Amino acid sequence: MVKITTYRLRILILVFLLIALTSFALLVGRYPTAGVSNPRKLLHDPLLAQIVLNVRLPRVLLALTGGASLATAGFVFQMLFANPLVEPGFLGISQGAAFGAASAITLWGFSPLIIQLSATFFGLTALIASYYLAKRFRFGGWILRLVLSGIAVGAVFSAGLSIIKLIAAPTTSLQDITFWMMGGLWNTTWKTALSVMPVMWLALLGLFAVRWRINLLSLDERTAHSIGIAVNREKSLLLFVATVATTAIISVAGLIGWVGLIIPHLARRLFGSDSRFALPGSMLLGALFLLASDTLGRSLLSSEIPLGVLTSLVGALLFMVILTRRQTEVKL
Amino acid sequence: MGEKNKRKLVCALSILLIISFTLVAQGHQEKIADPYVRTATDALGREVTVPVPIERIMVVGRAAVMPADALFMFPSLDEIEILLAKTDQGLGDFFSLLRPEFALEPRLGQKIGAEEIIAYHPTLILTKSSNYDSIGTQLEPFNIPVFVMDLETPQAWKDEVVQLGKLLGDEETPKRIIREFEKREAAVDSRISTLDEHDKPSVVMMQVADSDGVTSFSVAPKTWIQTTLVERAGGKPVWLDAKLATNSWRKVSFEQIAAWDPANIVVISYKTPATQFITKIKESPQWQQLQAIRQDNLVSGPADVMNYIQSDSRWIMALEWLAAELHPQLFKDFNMEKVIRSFYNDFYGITDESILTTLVAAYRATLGI
Amino acid sequence: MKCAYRLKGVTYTYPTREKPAVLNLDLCIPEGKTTALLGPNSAGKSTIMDLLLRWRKPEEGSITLFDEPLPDYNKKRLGRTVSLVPQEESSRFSFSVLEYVLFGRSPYLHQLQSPSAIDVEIAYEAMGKVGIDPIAQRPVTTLSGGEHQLVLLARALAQQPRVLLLDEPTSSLDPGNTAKVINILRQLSQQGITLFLTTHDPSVAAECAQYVAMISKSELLFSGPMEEALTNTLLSSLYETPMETFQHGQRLVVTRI
Repeated sequence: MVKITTYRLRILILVFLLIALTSFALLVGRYPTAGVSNPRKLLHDPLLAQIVLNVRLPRVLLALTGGASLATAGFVFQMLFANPLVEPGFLGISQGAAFGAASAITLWGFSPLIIQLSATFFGLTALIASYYLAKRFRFGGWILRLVLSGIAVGAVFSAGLSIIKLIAAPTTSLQDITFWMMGGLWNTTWKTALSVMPVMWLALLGLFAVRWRINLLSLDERTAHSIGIAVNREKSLLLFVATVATTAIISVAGLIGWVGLIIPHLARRLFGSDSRFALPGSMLLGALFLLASDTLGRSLLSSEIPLGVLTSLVGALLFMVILTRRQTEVKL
Repeated sequence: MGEKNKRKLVCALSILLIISFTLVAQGHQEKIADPYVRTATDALGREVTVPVPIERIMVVGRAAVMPADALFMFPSLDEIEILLAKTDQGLGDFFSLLRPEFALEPRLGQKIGAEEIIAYHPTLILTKSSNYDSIGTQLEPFNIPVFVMDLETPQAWKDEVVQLGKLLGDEETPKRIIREFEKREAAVDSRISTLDEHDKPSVVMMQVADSDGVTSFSVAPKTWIQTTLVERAGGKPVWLDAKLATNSWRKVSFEQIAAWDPANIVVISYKTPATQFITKIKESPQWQQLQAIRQDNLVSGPADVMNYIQSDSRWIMALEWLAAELHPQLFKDFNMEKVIRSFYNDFYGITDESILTTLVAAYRATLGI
Repeated sequence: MKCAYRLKGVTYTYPTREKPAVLNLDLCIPEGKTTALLGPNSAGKSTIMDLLLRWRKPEEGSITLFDEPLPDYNKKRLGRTVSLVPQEESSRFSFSVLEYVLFGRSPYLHQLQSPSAIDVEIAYEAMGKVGIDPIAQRPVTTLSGGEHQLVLLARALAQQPRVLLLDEPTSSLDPGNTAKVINILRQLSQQGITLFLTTHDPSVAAECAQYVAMISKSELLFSGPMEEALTNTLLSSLYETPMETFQHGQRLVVTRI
């Protein structure tokens, strides 16, 4: 019982950090000059207040929600596939979603609903393809097979993305497919943010509500059945929700990788493996991580550092650290 | 965590949702009616209104050189402060010739954020229409006028320059420019129309570029200005593949070009002078088999600090040049240097001899003279 | 004698095979007693376990659980009536022993619930029955084979089942741990739980089972009281190698010869 109090305390600390970072992020920018603005200026300078409300706030909220979604989805995938080395990018979901979004833009214009639906559809297709392909592989253990098939499926969709670049009219706003490959929240407006945030919030709420049961779905399927779980139904539903959360953020922000892989590991380090705490922990850590990266990327230089580049850099480095240190919370 | 905590969480999230909605509603500023304004329609059909007088114009985003080229045709710009994004394609920067300070100051970043733009307090933003969804939408709540330009075809170019003139309060200059433009077009069209189909030689116009140590050749799609230029100059663009409708440069191999074996080959290079490519091709034994090289009909497209063969104001010079190149007997009095001088004089009002000399010298440098 | 499970004419064939894994099985698993299922490898023992769990459905025949057709139980109710101790199970995630045992409380919780203090109490009770409450906070990934088996047993007990199914509970254990487990099973049997275990070691059956069923080549060879089942003739016929039983004090011991 002592442990649970520690976990609750840590969650509280993370919430506090989140509020602090959010406030800080709203005051950081390049207007009127590069750097942090004094909060009191908000009262005197209406233009600054406008910037905070219309330029920074939607972006900050999207970074928080997107970070939480990516991390939580990664956590759910890791539990459900009993594989600590998966994340949406490794399962081809991110690439599928990017392909879906890009093809929707090319073929049907900019209706946000169609873009999201297309992203979700192809994201789910990629997930299903990766899973069934992995089951057919005759090489290696389950973890390896899933990662390999995910990479293969992801590569197919990446190639598809490049083909779309060829046929996309250069005068539309699909100017650069590299935008999708690098990921960024550069041109977030309230419109783009509000088109995806409700879906992500709903998904996060749903996953949070069943957080204890996610533990059970990491068990062997026959065992899960023996403790009264409708295995296929519950797993499919959770995978669907996690995929929707992922494809929502990708459809507006492009490919942002590594968050879903690293944050769950960090969360397990802080909160143990029980998803009752590790899942909300992932949400908070993911939100913090993405907000911190995005704030850094937009305020360091006058030109933005793409978000996906930052998360890849930090994520890949952390990944190397995790793999080389002695494993306590996960058996690889 | 029990039921109570869950309910608290749902409450908090609902409150967050409500707060963000109210903030959005408050974020909208009222538009103040101002008698001292000018209005025009931009390339996306938007009505753009600017306050008078215009104090600062920012040309931002990718392909900024195109709106900037249109802008600097207007003589009334001297009082206006102009901030540019990158306009040097690789061969040099035209605007540093017009205003030396452009060479000294750092340019605006191509992925400039809304905040940074607002920090400059610009009166008007000019940008290519493809940038609207990124830059334009972000600036909407702040009521900063954004005028987008497409400029991809000669007709669009003419229409948009007229609209830009309305915005700048100068409607005479566009009229004059279009007249000059059409004069030059007519001079070419009238002579080309006297040709029969079999008088028109086959042409391959290809972009040559070095990437990762490999030289690649690419051809343009049917609708692009590179293709329509060849047709208008009395040539037959043989690279058009009816089956493949691409929307960007398409790579082709030497084999393919050899199969076409055109009578004329025009080499375009945007970032570096084409002379190195011309030399390499002329020296290569396999290229020497092609009739264009044997009959010395391999030429590089004209450029000074910018290549003329793109959808930019300089396109007209490329037309005049190519027509004379393909049909010298129809354009016996053609003199490229005179064309360049009169172009910059007529369209940009450049009379300063040193600038004209610099531009002509740049042109000659691209030919390796 | 009441039957906890009654199987009538049950046949099951794996989708990828031609011959049935279980053919025309008639079996009664007596309530409140310990029944052992003996048979050589791939005789069909695991299949029967899967069928009792409703993890697989028989293509012919019927199964009733406490006189109700097995398909009529909803998932939660089934989980509260029958629980499984699998042969082996490893987790990739380092849950603590307590957290792991708490998973067994799942049939008593609905979708949005997490275990409460009461569930924790029941979990501790289950752990106490198998003697692992001292290691409640240890990560399961650090346990020995014997400790792990006890954790699986505790989890199954946390379900508070009427029937406990054990899939080869001692097959991977050393003699010391085997003795421990058999002891616990005997105590559970005294508390009235119906036990059904598969094993390839007849001595284990001799030690803790009152009833024995023998299955060979997908068909039932014999079922009845342990003393009648564990005879030289039947055992040698079952395993197709000479077997002998002899008394060692109170116990019956079975060995190859």
